[in-house]
Amino acid sequence: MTHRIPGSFALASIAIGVLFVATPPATAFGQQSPPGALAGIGAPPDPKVSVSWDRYFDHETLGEIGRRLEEAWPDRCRFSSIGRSVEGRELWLLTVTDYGSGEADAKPAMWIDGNIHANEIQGSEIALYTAWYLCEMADRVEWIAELLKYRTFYIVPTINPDGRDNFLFEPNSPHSPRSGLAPRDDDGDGLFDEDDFDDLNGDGHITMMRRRSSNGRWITSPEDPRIMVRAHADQPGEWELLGSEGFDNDGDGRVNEDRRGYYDPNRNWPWRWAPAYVQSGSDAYPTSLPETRAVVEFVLAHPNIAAAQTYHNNGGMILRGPGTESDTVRASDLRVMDEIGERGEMILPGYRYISIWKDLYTTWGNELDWFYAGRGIITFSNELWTSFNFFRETPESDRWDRADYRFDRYLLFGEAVVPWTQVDHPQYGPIEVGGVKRQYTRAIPGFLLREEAHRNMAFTLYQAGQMPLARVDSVAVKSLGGGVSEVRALISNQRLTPTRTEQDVVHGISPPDRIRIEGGRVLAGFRIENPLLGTAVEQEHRPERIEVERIDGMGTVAVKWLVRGSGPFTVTVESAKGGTHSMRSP
Amino acid sequence: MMRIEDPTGEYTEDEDDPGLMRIATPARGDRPAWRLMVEGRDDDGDGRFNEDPKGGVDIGMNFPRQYPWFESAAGDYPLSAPEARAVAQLLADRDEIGMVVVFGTRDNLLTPWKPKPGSGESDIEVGRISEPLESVLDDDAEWFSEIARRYRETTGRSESDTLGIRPAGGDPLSWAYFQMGRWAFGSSVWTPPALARPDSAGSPEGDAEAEPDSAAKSGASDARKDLQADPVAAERRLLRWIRANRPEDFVDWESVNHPDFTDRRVEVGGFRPFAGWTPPAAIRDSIVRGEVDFLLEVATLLPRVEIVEATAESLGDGTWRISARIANTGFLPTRTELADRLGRPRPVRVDLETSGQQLAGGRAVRLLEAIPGSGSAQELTWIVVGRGNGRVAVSAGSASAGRDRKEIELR
Repeated sequence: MTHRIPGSFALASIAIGVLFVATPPATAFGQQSPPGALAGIGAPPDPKVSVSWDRYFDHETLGEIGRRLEEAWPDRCRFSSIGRSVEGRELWLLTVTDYGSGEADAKPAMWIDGNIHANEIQGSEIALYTAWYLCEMADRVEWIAELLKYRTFYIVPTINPDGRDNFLFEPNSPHSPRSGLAPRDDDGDGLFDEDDFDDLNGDGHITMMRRRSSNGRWITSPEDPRIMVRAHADQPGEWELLGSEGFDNDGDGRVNEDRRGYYDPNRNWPWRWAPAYVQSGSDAYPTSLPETRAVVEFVLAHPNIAAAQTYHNNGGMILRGPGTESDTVRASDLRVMDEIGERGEMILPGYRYISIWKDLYTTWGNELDWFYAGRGIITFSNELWTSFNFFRETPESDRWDRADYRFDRYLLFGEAVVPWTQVDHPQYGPIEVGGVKRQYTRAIPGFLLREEAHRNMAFTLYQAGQMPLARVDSVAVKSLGGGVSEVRALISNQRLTPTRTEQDVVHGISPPDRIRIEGGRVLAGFRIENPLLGTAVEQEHRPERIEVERIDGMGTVAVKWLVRGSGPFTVTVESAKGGTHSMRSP
Repeated sequence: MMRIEDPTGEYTEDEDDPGLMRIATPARGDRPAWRLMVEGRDDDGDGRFNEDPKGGVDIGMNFPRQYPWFESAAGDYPLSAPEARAVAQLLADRDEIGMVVVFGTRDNLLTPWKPKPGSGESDIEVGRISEPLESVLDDDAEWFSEIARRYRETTGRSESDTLGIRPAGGDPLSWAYFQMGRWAFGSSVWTPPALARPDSAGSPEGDAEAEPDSAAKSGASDARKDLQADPVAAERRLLRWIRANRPEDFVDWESVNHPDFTDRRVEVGGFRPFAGWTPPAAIRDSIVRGEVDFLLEVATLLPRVEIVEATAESLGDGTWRISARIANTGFLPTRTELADRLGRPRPVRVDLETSGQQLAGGRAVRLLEAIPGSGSAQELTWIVVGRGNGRVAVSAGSASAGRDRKEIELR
């Protein structure tokens, strides 16, 4: 029996609220253990904000945890909102960085969102876990402290909060709703949302309906009586399957045909948006949904975003674009994605790094494609949870038994499935309803959620660590006599991702990287083509600010100036996505 | 415009039309002498002139169909401009808008859209379309052609008046049909001399090309031929028209001191912005009259749903067959074929309203795909069972085609 904990959707019957516990600040990395225990590696031993990572939080509680993180870690986490949903819920934003080492919006940043599909809920917990872990562990792990020093995380746990709360608190199946809650007339009869599911047995879950019939084509599995399997083609059956729980509410002869919502928020994005005759669910026009538009406007206003992750479920995939066959990922960008994606397959056992249209299905107007193609940002979408996790092997399909039911029998002791129970259907008469609960098969069982969160976070932190990082490596001054100096500077990008992707450069999405000199009157400025030979190309206009197209991943560029003065000179590299860094000549 | 004397420039002044600048052709003995650009200063010192002017979104390029990504005038994303977005939301909200007329550079009234033979047909037959359509659907094309014929008849304009430009994407006209499913008509109102097709374009050879933009494309290809014969033919035509109609729209070149070119001769002059785009006052009234007459005419061509016949036939023992003929007595179909595929705007809805009888056959609510105009009709039947006399009613209609209702006595 499932109990509802106020503010969360319970997976276990033990309710542990979100606590705020003050602890003394740490003085050195990795020094603490909780009282009376030895700290486990990979977990904060005594977190200031205590969160139970075994359940799914509603919109208000997600915000409450965000607010508590800001209170507990004001120098690491700021809590705000990027806009409002259709029903007026805030789209909470956690901006996580080391606020003591520079403005958040000036550092290379990673965007993380989740839950665009209302029923794909765990992306929110995983996004929030990331913020929590970064805050709670930066004093303990030097790598995290360094990461926050140079990077910013914009984390929006849910970009579909209306749908999320509907999934949590209204009767639903694991697959409903995918949509947000803007009313739509799905069947075109002039009425809005007038024929939704109906929870016939009042258990809070929308399961399947079946009717005993000697003409039915389904039989009960001999392995597990909860499973329905098709009768052999030449054998009689015993059941008719009648679809998801519901009746014909509006008397039009159809069942569940105009549910709350209905559109696909992940087909509403501007890149290669297509009308409904090509892409169902795309809604009337790109960014018609306020949630889509809030993200688009935020990303446009934050050109420092250099990496993105948008969490979905399920299937164990690290998805990259493009969503359509006639679109393309540019060759050098693909090489960067391949490096990161293949590392992800190691971090996330059971996950495959694949492309959307080729390996999954065609999608027009999806979020990931807009991030990459529209804004030049390296973006992945992880399909969280995989049936590999049931028994740590790729399950073989079994006609009589299924891995999800077997896992429920042996590890969940039957909690995940509603047994078939008889109800009176207002139109079909006596029938039975039963099947998996909504927080099973797509959402993650509570006791496994934290591991899934940690592994997926680790993948995003790897990607965040590989965002471009522009550095002035060296500044050398040589006097040419007559009060004129030659100043040479070597600028590097110390990470895998280029300061601008090929898509960015080709379309001029970000400004070029700029290398400035201060400390004297610049007579001439040059890009050095070959540092060993010293060949150089003059930049005639504004020579004190040399522009370069980009700095490749793990690459360098060299520049020089002829300057009146003898120094010291300060050289600064300014890169929209690689950050700003200065060095002063000796 | 602004010209800077510079032997590394590309331009020379035309001999036949003094003041007109053209790209020099060294093979014909032209000596390049000038750089030519829009009047202005390099305010930010980056070597580029006027590269970031005030504002910047062209609303006519901000609509989602064939949106010209990354062109600076198109905006950051489709419908980013509040003006374009307001139009999009209006069409999304209001099914009663059955027709859209756009006055602008996009036209489908002088040269109507033509379907592309065979394009995507196999997909369409199985009910799926795998890529956004590039050309008008067959079933809609004949209606677009007929309205265009009426436009030309009413305004006196002809296909040869089609603008000889290739329009950019992101326009509201084709969006209104291809993404919003509406009857959508675009009028260029007037053919500015600079945008007229070259005289040689009198025979519209390019029109066989079955593309929505065929007029523009054939205009463009004619323009290419034209360009080979005389690189400034269009400007020459414009200049002659200006001299005859609005001489103030071409400014004589005049020397100025330019702070970015202190050691060079700089002159400003040439065409004023949008020179020759506005009709002369003398013909304005007749242009307006033609367009308004067309609007008034086309408004009468909207679909009109009527129940032309509604009967009850007794099958005995209190059982009745109800029949209704739902007709479109307007001219245009109740919605486009494209709207049938899109699902919007909503279809004609037909309701059978009973008063105590039981509906034994047929659905109480039916949705009808496009009914062609000129009195075309669909016949619907229901079976109801009810003892004693009574009545039922049939109602039918859609937001843009009006509604009708007929009561039927059962006796």
